[in-house]
Amino acid sequence: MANQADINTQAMPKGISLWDDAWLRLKKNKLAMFGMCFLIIMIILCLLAPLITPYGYEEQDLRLGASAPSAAHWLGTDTFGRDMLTRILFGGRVSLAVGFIATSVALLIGVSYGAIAGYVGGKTDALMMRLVDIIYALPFMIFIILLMVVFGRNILLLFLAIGAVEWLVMARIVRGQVQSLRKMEFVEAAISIGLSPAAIIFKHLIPNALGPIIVYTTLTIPNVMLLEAFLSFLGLGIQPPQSSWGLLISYGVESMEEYPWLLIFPGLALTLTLFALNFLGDGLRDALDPKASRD
Amino acid sequence: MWRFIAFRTLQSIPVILTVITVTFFLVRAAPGGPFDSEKAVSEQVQRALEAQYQLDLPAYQQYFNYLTDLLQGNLGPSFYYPGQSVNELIFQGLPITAELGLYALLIAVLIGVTAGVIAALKPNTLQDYIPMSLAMVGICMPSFLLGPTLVLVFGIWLDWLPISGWNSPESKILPSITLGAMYAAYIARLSRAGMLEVMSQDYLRTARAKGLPERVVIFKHALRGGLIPVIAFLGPAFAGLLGGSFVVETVFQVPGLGRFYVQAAFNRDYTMILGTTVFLASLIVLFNLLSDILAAWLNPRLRYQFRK
Repeated sequence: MANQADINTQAMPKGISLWDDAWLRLKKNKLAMFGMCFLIIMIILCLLAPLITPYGYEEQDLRLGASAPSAAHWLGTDTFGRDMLTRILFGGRVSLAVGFIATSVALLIGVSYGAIAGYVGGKTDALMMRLVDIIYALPFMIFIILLMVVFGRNILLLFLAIGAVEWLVMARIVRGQVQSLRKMEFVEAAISIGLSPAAIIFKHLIPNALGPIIVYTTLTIPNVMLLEAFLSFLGLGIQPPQSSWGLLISYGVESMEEYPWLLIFPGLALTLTLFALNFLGDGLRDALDPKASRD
Repeated sequence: MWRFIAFRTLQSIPVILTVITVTFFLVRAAPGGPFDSEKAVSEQVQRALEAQYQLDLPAYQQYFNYLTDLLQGNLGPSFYYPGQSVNELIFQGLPITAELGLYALLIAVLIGVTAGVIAALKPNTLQDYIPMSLAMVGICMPSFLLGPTLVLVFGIWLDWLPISGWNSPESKILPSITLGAMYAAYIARLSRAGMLEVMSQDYLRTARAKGLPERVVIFKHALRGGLIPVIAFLGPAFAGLLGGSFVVETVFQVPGLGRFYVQAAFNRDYTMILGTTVFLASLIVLFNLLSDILAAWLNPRLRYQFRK
């Protein structure tokens, strides 16, 4: 119950808040810190890609063709003579953007849905959660492929489709949190001064459930990125001329026999980023939610 | 127990019905009919084709016809392969996918449980860190990357194993490992956590106090409780295996159901997509049901909780 005490001291000017405490714990976790640094560097590199590499994203050098890593092209070039480092950084923009945006969609739906179900309770809650159970039992991989086929392959739909899959667990977690918070005195106080349910949910309940929400968000991003890469690999996700790590990997596979670096480097970029996100997520869970099971 | 089984079975019915309905109307809502090909066909031919596949009826009537056919186990004709029914195509691919999935699941359970138990016996030592780091690699390395990497190393550079196909026993090794690896990793984490949880419980102390050898304590007493999370995971894992088999079958050119599905998606073979989706979804729901029942059978607490 150390957390409870921490929440109570949060308002005081100079105590150790839940967040300070969590930060101290996170700082001790070397793997998580490594993951965080790696991610920050990767994000900065991808954002600043045009400043970092002298080559354009689609700049071809057909005379060069596929060349092995060299001083001019650190990660080599692909069969059209395009610089791989440039392509990986630009592909990373898309992969990371899909990861963050689709997760935000999931976050938005899941948190509101779960909080409303948990706060209203009763029959509404039972009905809402039954619906989640039913959707949860649907085979989603198949449905996303179906959606991409039926409605064409555009990036906006990809965000929505992936977001629509990932919100379910978030809804369950938030509902559980809200349900246990709902009966506490500060909520009664809020009701007694006449706050609307919406204000209570969004101003009082959700901020108190932020710990598990942050943890689960961090662990959702790698899942989403994997899903995007999977779809792009099958040719159902990101379409050229846009690019993502999944798409680069699928190109790499086609010519890996002659030019293995075309597979290895995008593969490393994706795997290492997923590693970093998972380490950070595990670390955040230990820091923010020490009692949660580590499975 | 029977009440639990009956309840869970009844619960699956709306799920399957939802799958059928959503898929059916989603496919109908798709822009462009299945016969809008590059070749311009005359209006009569178009209409004759639509009449042949009953596309001229109102949507709700098509839906009820489809449901009636479905109850008789008939998934309709394929739009893309004339003269072949979706049933035939599914049963052509199913045995291969089932074989691949079985090998992958065996690999996943054998390696995963062994690694998880080994790690849980001495937590926070090297014996724990090494298998768990490997598990992390397994989780972060998607199958579409692992597969080609294995092909590159064992198929091309070392030239030990065939790089594609599904004929000889050797050709089945790489696809099965590729498909099983990620689940081995998840199972390793789950069984480690499950074992650690169980190891600290009173009944194990009792078993040790009775003077049972450590081997019996671990294998007879701890494993049964510690593996419940793994068994509960098998249902979702099966669903994942099917999804994963899409990629693995594409990478290794295995002529299974997953490859058919992806091809049907590209060919806009709507009846095939619809039929395969309904079939796979029902299979997944069935496996979730079985794994829930098995978990309840192993864990009396789940059953009693339900009886109240």
